Amino acid sequence: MIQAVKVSLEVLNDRLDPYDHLEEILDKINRWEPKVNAYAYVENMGKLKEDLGRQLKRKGRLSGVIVAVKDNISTSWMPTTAASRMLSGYIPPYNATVIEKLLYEGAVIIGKTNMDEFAMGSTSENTPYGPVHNPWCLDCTAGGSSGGSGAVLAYGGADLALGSDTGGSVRLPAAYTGTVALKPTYGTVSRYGLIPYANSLEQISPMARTVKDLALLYNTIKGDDPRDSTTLGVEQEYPIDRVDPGKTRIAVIRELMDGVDEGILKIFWNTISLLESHGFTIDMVSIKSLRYSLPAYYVIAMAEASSNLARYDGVIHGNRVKECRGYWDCAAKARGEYFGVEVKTRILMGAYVLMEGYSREYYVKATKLRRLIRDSLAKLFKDYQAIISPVSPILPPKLGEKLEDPVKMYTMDVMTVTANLAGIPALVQPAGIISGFPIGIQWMGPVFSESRLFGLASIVEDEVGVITPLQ
Amino acid sequence: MARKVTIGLEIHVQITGAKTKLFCNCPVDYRDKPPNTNVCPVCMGFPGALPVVNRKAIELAVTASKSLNCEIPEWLIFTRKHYFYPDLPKNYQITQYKTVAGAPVCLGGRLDYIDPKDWSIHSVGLDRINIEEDPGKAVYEKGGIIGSRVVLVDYNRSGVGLLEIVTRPELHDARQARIAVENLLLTLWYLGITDPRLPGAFRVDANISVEGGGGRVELKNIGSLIEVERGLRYEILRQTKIVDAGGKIARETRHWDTVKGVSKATRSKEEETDYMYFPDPDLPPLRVTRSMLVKAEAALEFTPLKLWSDMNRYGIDKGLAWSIIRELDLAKTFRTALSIYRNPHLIAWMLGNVVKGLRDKKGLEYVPPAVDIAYLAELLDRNIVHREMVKFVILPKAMETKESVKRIMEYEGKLPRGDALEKAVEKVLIEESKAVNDLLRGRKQAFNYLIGRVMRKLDGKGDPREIAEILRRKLNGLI
Repeated sequence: MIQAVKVSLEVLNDRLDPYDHLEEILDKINRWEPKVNAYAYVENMGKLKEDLGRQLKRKGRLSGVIVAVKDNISTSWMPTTAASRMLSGYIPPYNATVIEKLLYEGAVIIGKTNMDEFAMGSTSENTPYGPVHNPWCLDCTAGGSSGGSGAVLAYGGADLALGSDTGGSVRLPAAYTGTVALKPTYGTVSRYGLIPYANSLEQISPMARTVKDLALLYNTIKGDDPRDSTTLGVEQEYPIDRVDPGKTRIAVIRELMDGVDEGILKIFWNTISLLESHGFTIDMVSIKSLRYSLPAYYVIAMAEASSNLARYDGVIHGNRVKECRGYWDCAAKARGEYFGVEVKTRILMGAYVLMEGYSREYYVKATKLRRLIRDSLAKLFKDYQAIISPVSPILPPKLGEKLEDPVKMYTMDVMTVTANLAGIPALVQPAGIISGFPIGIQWMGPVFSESRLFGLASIVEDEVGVITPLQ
Repeated sequence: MARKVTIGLEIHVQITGAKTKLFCNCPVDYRDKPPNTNVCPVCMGFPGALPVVNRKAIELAVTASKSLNCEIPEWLIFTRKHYFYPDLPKNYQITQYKTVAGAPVCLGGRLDYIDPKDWSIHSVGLDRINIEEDPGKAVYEKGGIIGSRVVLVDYNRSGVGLLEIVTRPELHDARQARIAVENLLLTLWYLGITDPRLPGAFRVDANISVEGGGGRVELKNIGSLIEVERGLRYEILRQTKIVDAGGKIARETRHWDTVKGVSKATRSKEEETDYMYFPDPDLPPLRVTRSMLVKAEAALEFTPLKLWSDMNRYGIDKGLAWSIIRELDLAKTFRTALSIYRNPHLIAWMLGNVVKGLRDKKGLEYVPPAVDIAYLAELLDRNIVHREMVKFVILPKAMETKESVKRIMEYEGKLPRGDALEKAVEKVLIEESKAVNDLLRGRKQAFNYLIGRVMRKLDGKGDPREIAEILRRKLNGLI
């Protein structure tokens, strides 16, 4: 299948019929969706053709490119439900900034992808649309929470996809579906229009099948936004760097290697050998504070979640129940009725860690740990240009398996949450296949090192090859 | 029996001077707009819409803090305060908090205020000032949230910036509390932070306890200066009676019913609400910059207390001074007029006595411009007009018709009309050729002589400054 970076040029030179390209994608959606369930909403054909006609005229770098968008990113003409019954039927009155940027560059938004409700989950099973199935193994999870976006790319149901990453939500799906994803430096992509889960941790994140496509999508959506005070006011491009192995020291972190599945380890060490053969220096180092990443992450994420989700009481935001009396009764019933179990769990835990008397023990302590983790990574990056690690300690679990044990599900995020706590970029790419499962590796670098991560990932990609879309 | 009373106030003041709401671009001017038409995704709390701090509001808050002798932190932190209520779109309010999530715009501080009873100056300590957003306005079918089947909410006000000014419990009677609030509002009005005349621009909550009572009562919903005194008087009396009869005062929140003039318990026991404060992750800490502090410092040149001490220095009667200071337009006119013509007594008399009197008695709101007031002061000094004329003819006419003082003087025959002045000058120049020659040779006294001749021709009605101007023009370039 054609790479997204080539679409607009090929269309311009009449070597690609953009309508054929759209139909090819729709064919794949028709073929795969009944099994995969990765889309929460697909725009109808007539509207898509109309959009395509209009967007081709823009002659932007994404003209003719078909993009899938996670269901928690606001689109003013399509439902945006964050896979919650609370928001079923909600069409926002405005577009997210990233959507405006995609439209400006000529992209066509094909639909909204399935996900864990309010992005809370690592398996894309906490959803009223039914679980996302992994195209590589239909009774397995595609990872979460942006599982829909990963799965769509894996079977060719879009050229590019947007996800959001709060603690690994684009990277776990990328690892499980054989695609690439970048959790950008915090503050380089506007969150305006992203239905919030944990504001201080999350970024809207690009997903693709190749590193070049990933860089294209990232460079399209990044940039300062006056409507988001947490964007950093940095205006720069992030091209793919040519990385000099002689000047690049890579760290493997002991704390991120615990309890990793053997197959995953095998691919990981193969990749390390490959990099060494290119002349990279790779050292094993230890950062003790990373042992606290997971608890610190969950305390902060849940605290912010309980606050963000308070607005859904059925007055302005969220659906209402018919039978109720008075404000508090109606709010309580609506929240009881329309939030899923995982969301309620996190709201309750978040409220708990913020309660007077507990806040110091949990929330405040977690923010201190966060600072400690950030500082120790900053120190590491004085000596090392990048970190390499596995993405998940385990292969994609069977659907239903992980839901039984929430703590097990949370440990799936152990290798990914550190980047969110520290605000640093993290890129995941496929590094091989073991017994039919694609295996991902993760790159992390200091803030604003996206170009370097693209460069490092390109080296691996050139050796391993691109493994999706599946036929 | 008279018991010692302790009062602390919590005053919410809208930052109307910021022009737009605290975190979005909707105007602060929501009054008279149809319900829910002055809103946007941000102040309606739509999922994914993000707050962006209004710089002007922060500057004004810093100015307020400076004027109240506060300690201003280098970094301001915004905090989320959670409670479920239909008028709060996000079910949390963005505010500031002292502990955990630290750093409100003002810590400590002191409000100095003038007591117009004996012109003494008092102080009340401040605990802190928070910057926060106003909620929407809920209208209940049955007057309260409990028992009402329908609640109507208007979010036009939602997101307007507020200063929450919290005093220490250092006030001891109702009148004093009212005066302190009045002085505070006056200062904030001078500094362009708020317009206290707008309905709903400020609200006061008061904590009141009487000696021997035990608990303190929070009295809510006081919307005007008169109500501050009335509500507090009522509450002090209510508590005193209970304590005198051997009873105890339960810690509770009571609602001030303006219409009935009584306070009513809202909840039997004050609930210890847990607001689950934590710093708003959508708003990075905001640095109080050097330029903000410089701007604030400059604004402090004009405050009621500063004007009060200036007027005292000029020896202006204190009652007269206060009547000017209490009204911002009079105070501003005083300041400007004085910079044009330095006779503080005459200017103060015209504004504080004449203009203020006409405003109070006849409801005339218009204040003649400062140049006109300065001009009249000069004419008074030169005995071209006398006080009775100014008080009973010129200023009333000016305020009624909004005509310039000069036109009114001409009309009243106190100044030559139209080109009479020009003609008189021309005549004198012809008649007094010797003086003109002297002037041209450099004898400066001749100039004043010529002015005198023109005045005489006009029966003393001309304005010497204007005559001088015409003379210079006529002798174009020669002198």
